[in-house]
Amino acid sequence: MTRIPKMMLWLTAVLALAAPRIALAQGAALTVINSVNGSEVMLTDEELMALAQATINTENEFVDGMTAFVGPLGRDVLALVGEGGSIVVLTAVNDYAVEVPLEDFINYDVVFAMSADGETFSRRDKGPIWVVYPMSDHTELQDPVYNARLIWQLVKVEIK
Amino acid sequence: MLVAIGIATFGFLTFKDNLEAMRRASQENISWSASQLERELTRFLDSLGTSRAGTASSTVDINQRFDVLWSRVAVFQRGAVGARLRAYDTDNAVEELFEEMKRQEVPVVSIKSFDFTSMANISSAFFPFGAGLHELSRKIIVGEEQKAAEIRAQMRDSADFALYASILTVVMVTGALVYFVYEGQLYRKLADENKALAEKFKAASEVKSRFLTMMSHELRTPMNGVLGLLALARASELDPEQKERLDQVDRSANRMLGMLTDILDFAALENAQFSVTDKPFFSNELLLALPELLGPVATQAEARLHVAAEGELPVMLCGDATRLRRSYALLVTYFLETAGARDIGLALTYSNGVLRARIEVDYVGGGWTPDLIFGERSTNADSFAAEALGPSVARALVSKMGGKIELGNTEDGKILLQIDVPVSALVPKQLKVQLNMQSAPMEIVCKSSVAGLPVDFVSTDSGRQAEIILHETGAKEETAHIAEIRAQNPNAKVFGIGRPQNPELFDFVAEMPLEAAQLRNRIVEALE
Repeated sequence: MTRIPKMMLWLTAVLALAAPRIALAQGAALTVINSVNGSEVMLTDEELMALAQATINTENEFVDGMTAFVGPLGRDVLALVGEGGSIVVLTAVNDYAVEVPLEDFINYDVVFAMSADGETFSRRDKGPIWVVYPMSDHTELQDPVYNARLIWQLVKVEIK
Repeated sequence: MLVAIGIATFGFLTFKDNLEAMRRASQENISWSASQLERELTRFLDSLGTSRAGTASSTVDINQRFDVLWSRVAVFQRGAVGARLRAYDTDNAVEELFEEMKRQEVPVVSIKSFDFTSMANISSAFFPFGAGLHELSRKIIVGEEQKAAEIRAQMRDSADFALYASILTVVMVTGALVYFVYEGQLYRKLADENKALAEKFKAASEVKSRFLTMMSHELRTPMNGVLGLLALARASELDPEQKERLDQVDRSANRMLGMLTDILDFAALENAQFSVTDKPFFSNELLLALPELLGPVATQAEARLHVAAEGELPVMLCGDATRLRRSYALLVTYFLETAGARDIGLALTYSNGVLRARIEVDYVGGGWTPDLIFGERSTNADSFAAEALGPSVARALVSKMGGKIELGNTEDGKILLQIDVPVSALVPKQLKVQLNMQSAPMEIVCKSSVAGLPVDFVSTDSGRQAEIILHETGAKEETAHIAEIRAQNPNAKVFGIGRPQNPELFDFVAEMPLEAAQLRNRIVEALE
């Protein structure tokens, strides 16, 4: 279980907010909002891919066998809007939404996956972003509660 | 126990089934995926309808809904969820929908705003799939509910079985414990009874031994009387026939006396207080005693007896000389009197702490075989014979001394009995003895009484301290003289030779030559 020190989160957030490139991004793929401190960023596919990319190898009930998912870590994306809040609301393109405890992103390497086994997700196949938990590494995640959090076609993340 | 193991195994398998059922129960709820597909189809059709009505929906919105619908269909094509969904789609509703989507992909992607005709055509193409997807959703919901009910029933049955198996196991284990406790008490009771029987037997055996000891002792007294009277009768004037008969009576009486002695020994061996001694003795004394002891028996049996040492024996040994001598005597006597041996050789050797006696018997004729007495069969109480008493006593004595008896044959076919007894060799010291004799003959008598012992005679004027002083009694002012001797030899023992007026002046008194043997024994004790 990987934990990121709070200082690192703060540092990442400050650096991210200081970059006008992100704040002014056009044609955003993902909107990230922190309702507690009022900050908001909109990220394009390219900007998401410019963040540090993590790879997790895992199985879940929606893929065939072990699959390598690549994308930014959820906690890195959340850090872009600063600290505060305890619940993260993940919303899909069809307005489907789930509430996830913020601890999930701190306790586990949850990835905002943009590709699987080298193939970039299209909107017709869970794209552009699929929230993936490392279920093979943590048996406690192999549960319907976490299956429901594997939301795809993610377009909005809001911290409350 | 086997039943308990069987129940435990079955319980384990049931538990494993329960785990599998729980795993299946924790799978993704596919009803949701099915309903999402149906819902997205409706939303796609709605987007076509709203565009056609000229409201807010745009071609972008239509394409987005189409993509989302595509992604929902894709869920059916991969993973465990997809496999479970496909299992319900027996009418191929999703597959047909996907085929239609591929056919309509170009029209949807290229649709223009306000192209109501195309929108209507697309809508018409997809509208019929609504009923099929709805039916699929219904089938999945019903099927999943049934499966969930089956899993719950299976888990309930398993739990019930586990409960009954646990109760049964507890009952069986309790029963087994009760049984083991009962058996334990039974065995304890048997052990107590056995112990009581053993103690009873031991007490009876001791009573028997005491009785045997007492009776054999009591019988020997009158037998000695008989022998004494026989000796007197034989000394009188008898005609040859009477003499021969009395000789025969004498031999029988002596033999009976010997048997009584054996019984006494046998009873003593069974006595728990019997113990062997471990005292120094001279090997040549043992060698000399045996012919002296056995010579008359051999003569009477008209047999030849040879006793000798093979090689050099240690001068002094440490063991139970009396029991050794007795053992050899019993065995040789047996061969002479019972087995009818004509020639017996007894040779003593010493090696590595073991004194070995080789008894070679030249035996001719008869049906007697030594196995009857010295073989394993002699231990059978049913075949115990009176003549076996002597060898049995000998064997027991040797065993008590930590030794063993082996039966065999010499190279020239004689019977060979080999008796090995552990005996340690001692290096005797030289005992310094001073003779204060008033006459030369008495000095000779005293010296002869200690002949063969490692004695170093020291004179009064030699200046060497004596350890034993043999002082002939009867001189004047003896008390003062003895005091003077003790003052000059404070560590010496003073033995009085003769009949002193004050025996308390001496450590030991012997009237010579009558008590020469006693004097020799005291000297030997001093050597120890």
